[in-house]
Amino acid sequence: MALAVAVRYDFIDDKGDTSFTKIRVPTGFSIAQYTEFVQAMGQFLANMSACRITGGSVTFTIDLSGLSLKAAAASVADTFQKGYFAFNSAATGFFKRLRIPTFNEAKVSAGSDTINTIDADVAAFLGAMNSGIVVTGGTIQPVTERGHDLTSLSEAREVFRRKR
Amino acid sequence: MALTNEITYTLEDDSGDSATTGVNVPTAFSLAQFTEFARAMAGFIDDIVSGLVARAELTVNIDLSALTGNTVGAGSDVQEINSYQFTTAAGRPVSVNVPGTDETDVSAGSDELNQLDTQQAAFVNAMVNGIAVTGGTIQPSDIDSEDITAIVYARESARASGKRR
Repeated sequence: MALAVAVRYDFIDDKGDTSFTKIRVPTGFSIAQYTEFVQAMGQFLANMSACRITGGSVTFTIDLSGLSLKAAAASVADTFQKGYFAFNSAATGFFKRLRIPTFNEAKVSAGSDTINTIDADVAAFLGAMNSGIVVTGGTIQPVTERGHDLTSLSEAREVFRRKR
Repeated sequence: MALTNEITYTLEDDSGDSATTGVNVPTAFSLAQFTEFARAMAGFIDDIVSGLVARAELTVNIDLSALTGNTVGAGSDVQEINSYQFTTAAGRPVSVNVPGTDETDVSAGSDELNQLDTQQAAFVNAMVNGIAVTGGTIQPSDIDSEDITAIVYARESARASGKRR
């Protein structure tokens, strides 16, 4: 049986504390249809909750089967070792930062913590982030959390952070 | 501020520990197109990590700005919850906990939520019978997509918000 899609609502109370609830719904509908559902169910929840709804979202599991991905982590892999990337966007002052766990040490320039952006695999990743990925009927271009297109790399280095 | 969607990748190391990273994408694409993107990006990420790309999820943020009456009530508390248990046709329990109990919805002298209350009834009906959308009806389900068919109970309860004081 197909794993259900998760609809999540976030709430805030008058003390500023937050919480959430989830409702599962089946797969097989379009984003537009799920949007209708989330908005209608959101109204039912808003009508009966004393808290305010601050957000609603739908989370889909992406099928990664059939891809040529590694079947197992390498023995040197650690989630606290991360590739830190900062990207400039089309809007001055807005950046996108991401940390990729288990970053491959072989992609870091010798004698430094700078990621080797000339490496073919790193360059391919950066190309996808800066120029987008062509999909059927268009190109999806990564953006900042505020929706500004990413335009260029600002910084790329190896960092060590908590396992999360 | 424009809403964006996010594709979250979960990576695992050889100790079995996991961590995530996320890529924001615009909203104006279909589920099929986002799936194409997410699968391709998974390949690019796989090529630069030593861990395992274990999972990918697309989170679509929904605009709820048109909700009416969506305000914070005085004295509201996310730790006071409406606790519902539903069941599927196969008898599998499905729990839904909604933060922010409206005390006027609780039946006097008990913890039971008054299911005859108009707002409570509307929510329970949507959970049991689904919500009509353009071209179909979306019916809430359990985690395996088995439809909810009935409510078992609805009562006031309490749950820690997760915020440490």
